[in-house]
Amino acid sequence: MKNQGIVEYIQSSLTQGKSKEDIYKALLNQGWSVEAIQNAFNQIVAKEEKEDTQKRIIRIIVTIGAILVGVGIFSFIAANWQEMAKVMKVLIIVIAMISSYTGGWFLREKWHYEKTGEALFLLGAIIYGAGIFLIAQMFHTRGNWPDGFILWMIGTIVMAFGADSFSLFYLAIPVGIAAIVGHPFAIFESVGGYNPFLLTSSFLLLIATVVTFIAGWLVKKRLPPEQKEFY
Amino acid sequence: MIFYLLYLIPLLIIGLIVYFIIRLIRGRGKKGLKEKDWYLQFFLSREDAVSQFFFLFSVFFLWLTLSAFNKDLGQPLSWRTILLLVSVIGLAIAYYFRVIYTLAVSLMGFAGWWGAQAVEWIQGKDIKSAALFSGLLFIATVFYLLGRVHEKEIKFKRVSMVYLILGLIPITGVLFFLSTKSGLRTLEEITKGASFFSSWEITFSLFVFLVSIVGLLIYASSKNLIFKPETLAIGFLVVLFSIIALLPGQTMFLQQKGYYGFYRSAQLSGTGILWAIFFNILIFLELVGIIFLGYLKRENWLINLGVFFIFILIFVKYFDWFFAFLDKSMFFIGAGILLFIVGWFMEKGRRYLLSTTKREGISQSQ
Repeated sequence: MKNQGIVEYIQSSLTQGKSKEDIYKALLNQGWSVEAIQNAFNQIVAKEEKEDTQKRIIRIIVTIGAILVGVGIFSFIAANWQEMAKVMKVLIIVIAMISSYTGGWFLREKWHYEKTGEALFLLGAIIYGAGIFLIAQMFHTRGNWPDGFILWMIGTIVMAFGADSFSLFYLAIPVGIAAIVGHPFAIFESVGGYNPFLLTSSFLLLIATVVTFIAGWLVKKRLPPEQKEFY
Repeated sequence: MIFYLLYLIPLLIIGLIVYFIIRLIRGRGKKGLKEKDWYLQFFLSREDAVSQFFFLFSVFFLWLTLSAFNKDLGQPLSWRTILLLVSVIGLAIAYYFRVIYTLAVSLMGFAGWWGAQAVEWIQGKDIKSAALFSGLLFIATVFYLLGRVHEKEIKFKRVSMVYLILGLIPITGVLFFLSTKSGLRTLEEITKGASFFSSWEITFSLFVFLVSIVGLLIYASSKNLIFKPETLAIGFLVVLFSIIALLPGQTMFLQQKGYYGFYRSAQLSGTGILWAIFFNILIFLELVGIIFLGYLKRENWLINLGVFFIFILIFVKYFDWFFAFLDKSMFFIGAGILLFIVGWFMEKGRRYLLSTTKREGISQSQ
């Protein structure tokens, strides 16, 4: 077995779930030196790291792309907002969101473009969030502004579980922080009678409590097995 | 063109921040548990990070929910009661799921509740607030001891880190503060008034904290969870905190001026000088103690923490003692030279301690 052969052997053994120790033993029995085995392992690690870097670059590029497309769409809508009918506005938001999610799903699941698919999911979630605020503004909805962030966070979490996408979980975190930071101000303002605190908001907060707790629990269940002994 | 390019700058900055956060999360996950100091990582994997954040959010949202319903129903509960309730629930969640962010926030919530409640208890009674000060230090000591007690079991290693940090940092911070003129002035202020025995709630709380500390000290010593010098140091600090709670009114300064301009010009009285010397020596010994503890426990983070605090202490003291009466150019040259010397000694000392702990770690594993 030449050097490439040993690398392939290690790779196939690792995919079969064999431990590093077992692979070492097997190769030592075949007459390979420790140094050669170590070199082969190093080669595999270096290759994986290179692939990881490439994947990361792709992810960054497509994520920035998704954000830019989102910004472009909303800047277009904002420029023509006054002239559009309400039905048209809602349709644009809903269609844009559904198209993003559908496109993301096809790209990821059917054509195996994982990174680009994930970026479209992210774009869908951004459109969803922006849609909440646009619709609230359109119909002059009475409520506290952090409520919009709570709805956004809940929707993103649900979508993250549905699409099994960690990018969406990452998005839900800053959105959740915005809601948590904003709400005490809303409660405080309402004391002065300026902004009446709606009962719906209290129930929404309760829902947010339950959703985040369940989300934490479910994500925790997905911890890699080797980490479970540390909990 | 340049105008449009300017729009890219914030996008680039946001992109870089997101990139580094993701890299941090992923990097941690990969390095993960192979490292010796795995428990110092904020999260072990992306699943860990996300679940920790969501549990933390659920506690915050619970607090907001209770506050909102409380307001809707005409404030039947005080905000302090809600804080206590949320902290207790947060602690239960933190222990059940072993989530450290929630634990840290819940512990701070509990300490905050006691502080706020104590202020409520002493209101209108002219009780010296030194008791409140000591109560919070007792809580920090309880945290520290709980950290040491939790340390042995691997499942609670990260939990113990939270307790240790929430114990060490407030105590160090307070001793540091008390070693300054403004700290001494605060001590003077808080020792004025009637004894805390006038409030049974404060007396009972302090008694409970003290009993907890003694109980934990006995338990930890009997199980060999803490070192003997450490036990003595904790015992000494607890006695000191108790003395502060019982201390009669102190006069730290010769002239009693208004607060404005007081800090620099005021002269310390004989009592003030004694307390100043005492606290300055104490904070220095405490920091050396942290480094020594790190050496005994083979914990690099404790050594680094102690070294970092000593650096800050030396620098602050230099400003505190020499800024007023040294020529400014001499002052800054002196500061520069001091930094070089301190840096050199710190690097040398830290390198020695870390290499010793590393060497012993290797020999133990062999």
